[in-house]
Order: sequence, then structure tokens, then C-alpha cells
Amino acid sequence: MTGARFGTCLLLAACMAGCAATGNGAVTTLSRERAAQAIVIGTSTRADIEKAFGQANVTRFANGYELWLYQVGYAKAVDGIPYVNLLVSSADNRRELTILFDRTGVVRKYQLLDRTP
Amino acid sequence: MTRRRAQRWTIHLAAACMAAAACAGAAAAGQGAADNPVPVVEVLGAAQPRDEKPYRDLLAALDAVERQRQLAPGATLRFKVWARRADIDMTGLEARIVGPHTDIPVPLAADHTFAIQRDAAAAADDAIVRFNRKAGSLAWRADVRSPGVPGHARRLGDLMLECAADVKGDLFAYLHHPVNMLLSKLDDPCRTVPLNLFNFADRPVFSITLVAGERRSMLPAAFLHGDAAVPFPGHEDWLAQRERVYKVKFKALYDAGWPDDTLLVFDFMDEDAP
Repeated sequence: MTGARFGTCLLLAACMAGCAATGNGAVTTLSRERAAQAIVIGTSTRADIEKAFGQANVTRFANGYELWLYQVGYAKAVDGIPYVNLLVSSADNRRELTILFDRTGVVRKYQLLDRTP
Repeated sequence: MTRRRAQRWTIHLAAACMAAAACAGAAAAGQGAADNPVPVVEVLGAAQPRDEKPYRDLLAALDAVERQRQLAPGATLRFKVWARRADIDMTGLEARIVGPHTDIPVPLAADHTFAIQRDAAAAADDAIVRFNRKAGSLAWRADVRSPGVPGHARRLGDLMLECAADVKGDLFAYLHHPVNMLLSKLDDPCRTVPLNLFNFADRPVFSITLVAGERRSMLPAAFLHGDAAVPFPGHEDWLAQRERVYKVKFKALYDAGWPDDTLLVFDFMDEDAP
């Protein structure tokens, strides 16, 4: 495989990674009012959130907390991939929803972040 | 195919596989990024090397801070160590500056920070700063603090000085290769190169907001809790601290006009938003 061909493969992979939104796509058009209704701090459970937004990218921490991340654009996974992370970054995503669950599986905090181009 | 060439293509192949995994990960959820255990191999029989740094490297970190003192005129520089793996017990941690003719105890604070005093004899003795832990047990970082900064915030100029000390002192475990050698030769690598370096917050962090006067901006998830994909976990020193990890893109921030006095305000996991 030539270097150029390898680079093309990586670029295609990066583009494919950027063609999707995490979960069921609801985050793409989520308003802040709708988010406040769907995500109730101290009440909403993992099951509630999955029902509303689909499967997230999940990070589990040693302290028992869990972070669910929904991104419109590139998956965070691209940020740690050699070569690919020279081309793209999930930091450039248009929108992301981050939800923190406490040790009991109930929402403790959330954040809906929009990036102005 | 030569061995070197084979190794190079192995790395390329690993990167391609990770890229393909990322494609699937954007649409279908990737589960448990923090669940990748780091394999640990213990080699018994020989004397275990200790976790250590050359004393001269730490002096180079002190020099780097002095050269850019204007970033944080009232700040103090200490060093700090963190557990590099979940199974590391930090109880009873001790440090000494040791060499053929040197043996100086280093007082450790309860938060595992310590100061390094200049000692020409120790430098001439090629001394090292050594902990009573096996090699690879600790993650080292500079710790620069200006007075008056709130407990839930860090000052951008302080973090810039930490970066300079970390690079010049070769403190990042994952940069201990020729690339770091090149970086350490640059006058101001943190501001001129878009480095991907991992800082540790004082407590597990949920989000970070940049604040400078009326200007505010939240850091995206890309800069928090480390990378989701870790191709070479054995090279990383931050995995055991994932809930505290954040990145600061100094070059981008300074290029965008954020001043040294910018505060990074932390919303910690276990407290109400500030």
C-alpha cells in the first residue's frame, strides 16, 4: 500500500466518522426547553435517557460516576487516533450533549453545548 | 521487509483499525472507554528500578518557569506526583535526591506536592529524584499556583508555566521519546506547537468554562477525561486519573486572544455548579 493510498483510507475513515450523530439523532434538533423536560437532575435514570436519546458513548469512572456523551459530528474516538487526529477533532463538532450520572444511575448534571462556526 | 519497516506498518495498521472503530463509534455507542484495563507485567528476581527523574531535568523545569515568570509573577512552582495505575498505593510515599555523593530527603506535602531547591553539588553529582515506588508507578507534573485564585479555578498563565516546566523537565511519561527531545529544544513549545498534553484537576471534573471578564466559553468534551481511544495505553500516564483529566490548547487560546489572567472555572462532579 502506498503512503498516498494509506492517507486516503484514513481520510475516508475520518469522513465516515463524521457522518453521524450519536444515539437516535434526537440531539441534533434538541432545544434547551426540550432538554430541560427530558433530563431532570436528581430524577432521570439511565433508562430514561436512553429512551429519549438512544445509546450514548459511555465513559465509566473509577469513582462510580458515568458520563454519557452524544455528539453531532465526529466521535470523540477520533481524537486519540494517530494521524487521524491531525486531520479532524471532535472539538470542532457543532453540538454535543453531556450527561453525568451519579453512583445510583441518576442524572447529576448535564450540559448541552453548541459551537458557533 | 525489514524489521523497522514491519514495525512502522504495524503502527499504521493499528491506526487504521482505530480509525475504522471510530466510524462505528459515532453512530453506535462505544461502551466503557474507561474500562480498558492496562496489562501489568511484573518481572521478579532483579532489583526493581525506582520511579525517578534526573535532578537536572527538574532544575531545567525551574529555569523554564523563571524565563517566563511574567506569565505568573507571584506564582510558586512545586512538583506533584499522581498514581499512574489504579493499583498503586500512595501511602507512605517518600522521595530523596540521591547520587554517588548525594542523599537529601525531599519533604512531601499531604497532596504529594514537593519543592525542589537548587543544589549545585547535587547537579554536579548527576543526582536523581527518586521515590520509593517501582518505575512506572507515578505520573509527574509541575504545579504552579498564583495566590488569590479560587479553589474551583485555575489561571491560564499558571497552566502555561506548568506546561513549560513539564516539557522542559521531561515530566510527561508519554512524551519520553525523540519527539519530546525535539520539543524541549524549542523556546516556547506550549505556545507555538498544538500539543496534546493532559492536565489533572484537583477533583473529578464535569465541565470547564473559560472566563475572562465578560467573555466565557465552555471547553468541548474532546478536551475532558482523556481520549476515548488509547492505542498504546502502556505509554500513557493519565489513565488512572481519567475523571480529572483535561487538555488545554494553549496555542489556540492565546491565538484567540485569551489573556494570562483567564480563569478555567471547574464544575466538579461532586458539587453543585458554581
